[in-house]
Amino acid sequence: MASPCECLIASNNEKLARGLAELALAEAKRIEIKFSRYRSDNIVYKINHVSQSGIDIDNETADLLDFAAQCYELSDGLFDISSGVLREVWQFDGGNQIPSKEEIKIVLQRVGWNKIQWQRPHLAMRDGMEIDLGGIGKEYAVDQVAKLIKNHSPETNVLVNFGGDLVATGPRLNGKAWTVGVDDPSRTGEKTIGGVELTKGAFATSGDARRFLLKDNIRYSHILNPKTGWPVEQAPRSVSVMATTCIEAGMLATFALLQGKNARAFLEEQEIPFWICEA
Amino acid sequence: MTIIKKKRNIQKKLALASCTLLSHGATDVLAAEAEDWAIDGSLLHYAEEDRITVDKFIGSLVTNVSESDKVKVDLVFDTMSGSTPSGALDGAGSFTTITTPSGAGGFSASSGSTAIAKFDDTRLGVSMDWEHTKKRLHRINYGSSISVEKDYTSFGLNTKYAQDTSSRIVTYSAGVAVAFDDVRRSTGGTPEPFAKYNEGKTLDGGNRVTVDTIFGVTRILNRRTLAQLNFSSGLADGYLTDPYKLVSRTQLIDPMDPTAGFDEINTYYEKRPSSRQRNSIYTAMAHTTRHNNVLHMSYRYYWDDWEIQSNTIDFRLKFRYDDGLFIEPHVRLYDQTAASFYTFAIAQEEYGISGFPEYASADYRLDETDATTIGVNIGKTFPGHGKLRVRFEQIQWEYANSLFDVNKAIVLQVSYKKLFE
Repeated sequence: MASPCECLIASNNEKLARGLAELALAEAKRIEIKFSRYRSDNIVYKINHVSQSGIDIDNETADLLDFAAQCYELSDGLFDISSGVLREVWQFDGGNQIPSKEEIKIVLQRVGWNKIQWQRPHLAMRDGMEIDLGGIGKEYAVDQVAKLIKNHSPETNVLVNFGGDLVATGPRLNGKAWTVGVDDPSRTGEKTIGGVELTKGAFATSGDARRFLLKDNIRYSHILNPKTGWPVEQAPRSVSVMATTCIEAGMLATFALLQGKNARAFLEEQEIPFWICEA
Repeated sequence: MTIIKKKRNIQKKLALASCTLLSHGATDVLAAEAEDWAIDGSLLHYAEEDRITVDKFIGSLVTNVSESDKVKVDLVFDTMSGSTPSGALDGAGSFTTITTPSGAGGFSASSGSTAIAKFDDTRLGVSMDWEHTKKRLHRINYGSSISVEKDYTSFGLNTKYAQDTSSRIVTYSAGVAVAFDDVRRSTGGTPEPFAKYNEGKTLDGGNRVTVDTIFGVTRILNRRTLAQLNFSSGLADGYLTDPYKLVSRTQLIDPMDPTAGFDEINTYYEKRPSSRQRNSIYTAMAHTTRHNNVLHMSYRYYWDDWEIQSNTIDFRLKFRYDDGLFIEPHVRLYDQTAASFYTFAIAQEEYGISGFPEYASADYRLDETDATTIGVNIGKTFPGHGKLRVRFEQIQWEYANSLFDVNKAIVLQVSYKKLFE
């Protein structure tokens, strides 16, 4: 998952906890292997490298694609799993190279969920287009691992935390809530901007202070608008959201970032608890 | 550059989409998709009280040969030994005790008696099944099986088609199976029906062909409940007689007083019709409770043109505990009417000294029967290793008219399943 993953298990039974931890690790590994775009042996690779006639998709992947399609609709096209190819022209390594308008225009022809033919279970897209489930995968893994543990051991509560995206299935052994510190993105790992009490529910953060591009004193965020091909202006450095499931929290945080300077207004409209760290 | 629009609250729609995504498919099923190999081995011991003992090894291997193809190979090896009622009465002497369903309880016969047939056999069975999934909503299976014993050879082919509706709420299935069986005595050939025991000609081995069809509907009633309805119908044609079973001719000791008992005056090989048309309706429901326990209930009604009708009620409740342990008590109740040609014996008073009905069998398995099974399945999953299951069952049969009117058996099975990537 390219980030620290932890699983806090509320139990006095060490053997049980170890068994559940193994289960959690296996499930997280399975999801990472299945949906990572850095592998050449999984379904994502197949989708991205199959001919234009397309490919039949297994159920789990199809469920994620259905979900991605709904997110595309709900975000008015701002959340788009086909936007990854924009990285070919935008490199957010702290450097100062910005692409030309021409380059962006050319690469944008290969971006757009609406250009992909998706009729469950068949997906077809033109050559050169790619999908990336990275924007959903980690939060999905958090929820799935929590569900798996709950299925195996209904009485045991856990907090599953994959790189700051987390879900709790119930209180700790002492009946109290889990306390979650919210990282300050400018001093990550050193300072928190607040704490959250979480008994049951999810918490997710989007944004990354370390990934940006600086040119002529303009700080370009790594959040790209798939409609224009340009970074979202005045995007907050990070947004954290509380919701019932991790995937819902993660999507709300991502949608908010994509709103740029309107992130706060967007979050207020959603009537959910949120934390925002402005640039 | 971002286009700003005043938006409505999308949180509820997103929450619904998230729930839909996460509620799809049991996690265990998803986890199972990642496994490429599964090996399942089990040992089964079946023992009837003072009768048949069967020891069985069952091995099965499942492998995903591609995203859409799964192959399963099963291997069964049995050793069977013991003795079983032949249908004949005790060869010599007179009977005064056995006439009615409430009869005299168990019967103990001497080992040299014709009432008991000793046997000893081994069986090797191999079956293969190939499942192909097309567009995720259609599944087609092709299977074949072969089973060999000293006195029995069977070869079968089957195919089944299943289709999910696009919502995946309903699954329709249809299947057909054909089996070719070759039956003989372990010493070769089959006895001439109604020939006297140990006399008469030995005929060639018997052949039969069986065709079975099945139609089913499975429907998800809600997130926790699944219901199933199957109808199956089959026709067997050819040699359906049992080459070991016998039937006796009896004569009342005192024709004026049937309760005085009877003598066995002759013993013959049995004779059954050469076709049998069978049907059944099966309905089942599985429900996962709020505490993640699973209740499974089923009912089967069976009828055939030998006039056997049976009812089977099956009930099991799986309690799932932390740490991958489950305990599943199991109860099955069964009752059956007798076949039209089932008889305790051929009565001389009805058929004379040499007359026969069209068909006759005294096989206890064709008698009016009640059976009760009580058992428990216990299983435990060892994460990263495999799954161990132990099954124990006790079965008790009561036969309305047979010479031996009670039978008891125990079943003990130990299985271990392991998944590999």
